Amino acid sequence: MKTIDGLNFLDFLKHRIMVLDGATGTALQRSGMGPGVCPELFALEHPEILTDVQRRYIDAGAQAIYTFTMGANAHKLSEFSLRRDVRRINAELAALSVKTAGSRAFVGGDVSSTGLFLAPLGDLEFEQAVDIYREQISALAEAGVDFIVIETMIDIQEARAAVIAAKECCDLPVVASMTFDTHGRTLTGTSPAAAAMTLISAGADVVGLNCSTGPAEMVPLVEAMKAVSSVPLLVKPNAGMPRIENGRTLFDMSCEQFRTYIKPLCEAGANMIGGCCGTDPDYIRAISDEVASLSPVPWRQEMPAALTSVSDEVYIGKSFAVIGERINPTGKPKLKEALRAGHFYEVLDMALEQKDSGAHILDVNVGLPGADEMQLMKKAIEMLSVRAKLPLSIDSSNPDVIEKALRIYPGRALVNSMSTKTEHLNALLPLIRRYKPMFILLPIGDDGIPQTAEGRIAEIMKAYETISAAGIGKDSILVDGLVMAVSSDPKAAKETLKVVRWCTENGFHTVLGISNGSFGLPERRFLNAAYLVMAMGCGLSAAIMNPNDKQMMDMCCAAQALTERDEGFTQYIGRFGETRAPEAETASVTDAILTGKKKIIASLIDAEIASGATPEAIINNMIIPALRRVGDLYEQRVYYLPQLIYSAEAAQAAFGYLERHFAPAGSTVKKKVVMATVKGDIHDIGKNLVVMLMKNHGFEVIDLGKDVPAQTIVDTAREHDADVIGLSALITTTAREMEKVVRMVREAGLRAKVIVGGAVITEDYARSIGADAYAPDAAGAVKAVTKLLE
Amino acid sequence: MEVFPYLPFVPDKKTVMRRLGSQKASLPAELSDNIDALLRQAESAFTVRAKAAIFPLEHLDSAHVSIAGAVVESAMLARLLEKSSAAYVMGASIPAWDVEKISEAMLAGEGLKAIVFDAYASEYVDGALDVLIARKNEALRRTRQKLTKHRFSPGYGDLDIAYQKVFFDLLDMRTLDVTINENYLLSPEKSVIAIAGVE
Repeated sequence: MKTIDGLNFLDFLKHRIMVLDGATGTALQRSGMGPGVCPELFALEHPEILTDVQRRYIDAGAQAIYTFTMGANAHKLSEFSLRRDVRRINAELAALSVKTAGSRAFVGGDVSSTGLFLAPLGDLEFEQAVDIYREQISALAEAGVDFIVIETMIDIQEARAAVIAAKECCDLPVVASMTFDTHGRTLTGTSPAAAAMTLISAGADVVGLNCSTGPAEMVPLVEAMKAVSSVPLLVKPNAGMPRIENGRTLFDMSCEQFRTYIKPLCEAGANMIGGCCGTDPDYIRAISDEVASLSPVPWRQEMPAALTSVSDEVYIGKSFAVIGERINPTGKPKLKEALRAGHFYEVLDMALEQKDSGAHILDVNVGLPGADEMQLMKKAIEMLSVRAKLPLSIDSSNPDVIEKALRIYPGRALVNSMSTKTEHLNALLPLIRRYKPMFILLPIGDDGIPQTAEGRIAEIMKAYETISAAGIGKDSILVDGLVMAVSSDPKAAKETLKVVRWCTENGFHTVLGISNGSFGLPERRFLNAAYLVMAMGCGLSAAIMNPNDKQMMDMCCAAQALTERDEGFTQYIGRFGETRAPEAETASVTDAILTGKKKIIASLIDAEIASGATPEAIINNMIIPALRRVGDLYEQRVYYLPQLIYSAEAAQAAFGYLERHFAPAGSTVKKKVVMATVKGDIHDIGKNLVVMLMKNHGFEVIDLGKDVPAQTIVDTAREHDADVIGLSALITTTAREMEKVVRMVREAGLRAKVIVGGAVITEDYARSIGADAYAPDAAGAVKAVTKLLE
Repeated sequence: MEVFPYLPFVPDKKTVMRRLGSQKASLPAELSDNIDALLRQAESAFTVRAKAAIFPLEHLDSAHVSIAGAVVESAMLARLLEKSSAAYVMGASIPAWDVEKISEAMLAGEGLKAIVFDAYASEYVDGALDVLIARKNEALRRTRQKLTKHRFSPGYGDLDIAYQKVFFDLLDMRTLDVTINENYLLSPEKSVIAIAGVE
């Protein structure tokens, strides 16, 4: 094993900040590598150029260089008909770098994206990706590199495949580095913290970020990664942000400017630092000079109690976590039938419904007698990970299914569950060590379920000895206090709550499947809610429950506020704030419409009626003037479309309430408007907005929809003796259809006026086809129609 | 042909708000919160799928481009591709059952939801092309190639919308359940086709 200053690769990072090399590809381009050639082949054919570049980086202070093999995977080399040369090219290029580095620098075997998307985003299966990387990495390892570096990754699942391949085919340290855009996300939407925890779970020994942005943009991303990482961090920024000038990509940060960010990056937690695109040996010398006086920031001992999805992270303990329990075929015949038929939309609907209801994590149980649970779990994970985007809890009693799920899940999952039975610990603990998920620990030992809290606590302590000896800490565990039915044992709840309190006092996170407690008793919802609140009072961290149960979710929210887990009561106010009464007491109907407060409109109308106003007066003196005012504000660009529509919804609610409860007498006969998007055009959002506003202003609207033939429009206008025909079209080719409609309306002798509008329509065009009016937008349409009918 | 059954990314809120005609900062807090909640719903409500492929440029002059046997008359497209050796043709579409959520919201009287979903879906399908371009650039970079900074779609500038059919057929967009009508409009409504050059 290579050492530098007596330190091997990982020990070096504990004591020093490691200086990495800079851009190599651009240096080769400057030395004559033309466009369209295979870079790896060019480097092999011109070894003196590569050797010179790498030697200059080492001379500048780099303590690690990368092999020039970033694109030397089977897929990318096959573009140059070099598929069969993967091992040879990697081995020869690695040997060159190993020789150049000698004992002066570590060598990282460089691996990057295949250029393909993995399933379900693309058609490359996860195991195929693992195989592609395994082939390349094993060649690099055999050639004598000191570590594997997986860099410039834009898809977290592909990065996982590479990490897993590396861990399976060699014993070298594995560095995994993602690329984040200026919004702080990878191309496929992963946050820095989620990426770090996901890659560490997959087995990375160092995580980090490189390319895409300059050092300034990377400082907050390094901070976000450092906060959760139990391994050292790598950072390799570009020389500022790229810009294109005369067809060439240039970077805007000088070496001296770049130098000023080295200290902030190291203070934020970078343990390995180098340069990416646009950097050269001068930048590396600057890094080397700067880090000489800096000490590495140590990293966490253990990842926080947190789960990740493909995009974000959910922390356990910071706030209360709701684990949605609905995706479980037990007692759900429809779901059973769908799963057996291989239809996953039922699963997706359940997932999205629970997410909308406030679930933070989704439990996934697809165990069905006679069905292939492994395959069902794979499909469910693939669909839910990209669609629901919440962390998943893998709920299975089959260790093989759990292993498969952990292997393909593109985040840090929760395993539900591992008991303290010797056999179960032996089967699952190796998986927990390998994939580093969080897991639910059931204190059910070899002698069954202990009836008392003391018995369960003894099981937890005994199991934790084994678990901690395997290098797994408390932040990976959610202890299940075991909710038993109080109907069969009145002391059951008391014992479970004791376990929860003990766990809280001893640094364990906890979870309960609340609804089991009320089994066999009437009005279970009251027992469930009380149980939940009492357990939260004992420090409960999470509950497996039905998030669609509003009462339980309300209780969660309230109890969280009372147990100091809702800073500033933001979640409580967010959930219940909108029903606050004071607004209803102070606002008027007019104000409510102007500000779109439809939830209080009914109470305001009630108040007006109680004080003697008639429904007609409310409409004519409050609602209509408010709508006119909204239209004016929109025209003046004080209001924008969302406010216009928000007010329209409030007005709609007002009209609806008046009609249902007070049936205004003496309502005038409404003017009739036939609305349509013309034949051949399929766009209807603009037309739909006009319909909504027209109705609010008292018109009777017959909405014919989109792609409507001219004859249908004419026939409908005749049938209803319409006052106005409104036509919409988005593009020039379909706008021509308007002319036809106008002509047919005239030929049919209809009295209806025709108004036209749409993205490409102008007043001149309206006039040229003989239309009676033109409207630039929905608010304008109301005004124009009103004027037409005056 | 590259096929992408899902493209998971979240459109930038600012661009969605721009499409709605306003920046979030100018809206009252309650409305802004409601829009945020709807944007979160939209993240789950929509998916986008895509196809893309590189086609060699067989002929290029100041007003014509010949791609995969089809001659396209457009000086602007020719100018875009003047330094290109090939064209990267992309198509993206939000499935019909997702697009219907917009009109369903409108029919349910939820106008705000409808316009937020509509703006989100428009940005989402456009953004899908940005993802394809970023992905392709990443792959092309190692061979010192890149896609043109801009892309072009039928119906814009002097590229007649009738050419939408040419690119529709090249990508065989039917396999994404997309259809094209007599006015060369793609259905579902939230579907786009674009061309960039490989330089």
